[in-house]
Amino acid sequence: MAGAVQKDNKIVALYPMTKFYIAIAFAIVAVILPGIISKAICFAALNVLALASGIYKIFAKRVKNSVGVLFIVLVVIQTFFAAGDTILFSFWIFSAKLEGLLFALKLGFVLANIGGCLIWFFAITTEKDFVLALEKKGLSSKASYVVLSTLQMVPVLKKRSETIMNAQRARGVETEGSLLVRAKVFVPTIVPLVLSSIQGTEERALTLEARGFSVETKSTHLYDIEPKPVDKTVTIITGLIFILIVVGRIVLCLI
Amino acid sequence: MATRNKGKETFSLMVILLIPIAIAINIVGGQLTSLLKIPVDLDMIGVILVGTLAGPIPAAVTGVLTNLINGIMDPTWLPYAFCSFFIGISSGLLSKHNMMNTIWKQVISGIVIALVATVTATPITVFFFGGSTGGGSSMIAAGLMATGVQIIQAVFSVYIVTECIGKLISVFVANVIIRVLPERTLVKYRFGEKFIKTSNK
Repeated sequence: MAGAVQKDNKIVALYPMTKFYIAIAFAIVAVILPGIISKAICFAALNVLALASGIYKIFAKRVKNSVGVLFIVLVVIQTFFAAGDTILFSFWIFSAKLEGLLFALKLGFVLANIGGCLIWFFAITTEKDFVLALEKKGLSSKASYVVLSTLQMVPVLKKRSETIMNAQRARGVETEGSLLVRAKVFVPTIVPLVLSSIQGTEERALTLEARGFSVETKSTHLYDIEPKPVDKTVTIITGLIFILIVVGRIVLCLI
Repeated sequence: MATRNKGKETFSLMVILLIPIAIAINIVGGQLTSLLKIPVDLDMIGVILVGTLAGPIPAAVTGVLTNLINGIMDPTWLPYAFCSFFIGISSGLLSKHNMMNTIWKQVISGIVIALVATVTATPITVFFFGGSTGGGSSMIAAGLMATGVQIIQAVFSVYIVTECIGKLISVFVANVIIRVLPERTLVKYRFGEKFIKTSNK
């Protein structure tokens, strides 16, 4: 799901937790910085970071589809329908208010920054690496199995739902037409999909038990990753910059 | 260890294997509704299914994980994990108190779950996203706001309608699935036995 991840890029090659700390620190900084302009600068910096990681295309597409749409709707709703006194312009029954616009821009940039950080993180980290790193931090192996198995299952089930829909179409179920006709396809598609998946769980349970899934000893990994010395340096530098900005913000508040 | 496979503990292996399927059904169900252009959100069928079969805690885990995994591609899903958590808990508790057996009880359960969803989702939409849901429903909300309704009331009234329709259908679909599950599968889940008696009638 993570798309193309090139390991030769220096930022991409970092240990998952290091990248995770950077993303979290970035998101917190974006929230605490005052004013719209500094938040916008933060978002610009995030774009530069994505560009440097070599995943700008995926990043831009996902940001546009998730936070972008939200941003536009947010600006429209808050500008026209929030309470405020300073009227910028008005037409027909609507009037745009400055307070609403400023609030929308501020909230919009906060959301864009938080969303962008997460999108950046998952675009440069495979879920497999991230879950493995979390497991080393103490996540139970059952939980990591659930996450990884879900990620594998989504594309499989999606493909199977298309097959089932084609099969139902072949026996005469209409999949195009009015809303009622289309809605009626939903049940004949989802029910066989769920049934066939649930039937498979018993075999899967046997397979897992045969490999000692429920054994309560520390498990070993066939695929493994380790943090490198550079990860420690990057984490410390990120931490220092983060503390500097937080302290600076508090000082600014007190003055 | 002896009771491990009887399916009575909260997280038996059968439940652990059911959760990924339920999450995948939530995600595929959501994609299917947009593929078929059905204007209702049917992305909680898996959560209701797990709640009905395996109880509140596994359903809550399913709900939260659904939102986290959807959040990988679209981070706007993440705050609603709170909402999915309560949908899972409520559907599990409803099943525990035999509220999923007959069609009238299912209607009541659907409305209860819809109310839970509305009450938890409205504050998130209003405070995190300033009233914007990003979907087609926010256009209806904007239309309501244009007539002078407050943002929170507009979002609430849009949600209560869409959620009631969506959750009622989801409860029915989940029950259709349970009805056709073989008994040998049903007995492996905590509340599965409740559905065996009715299918033997």
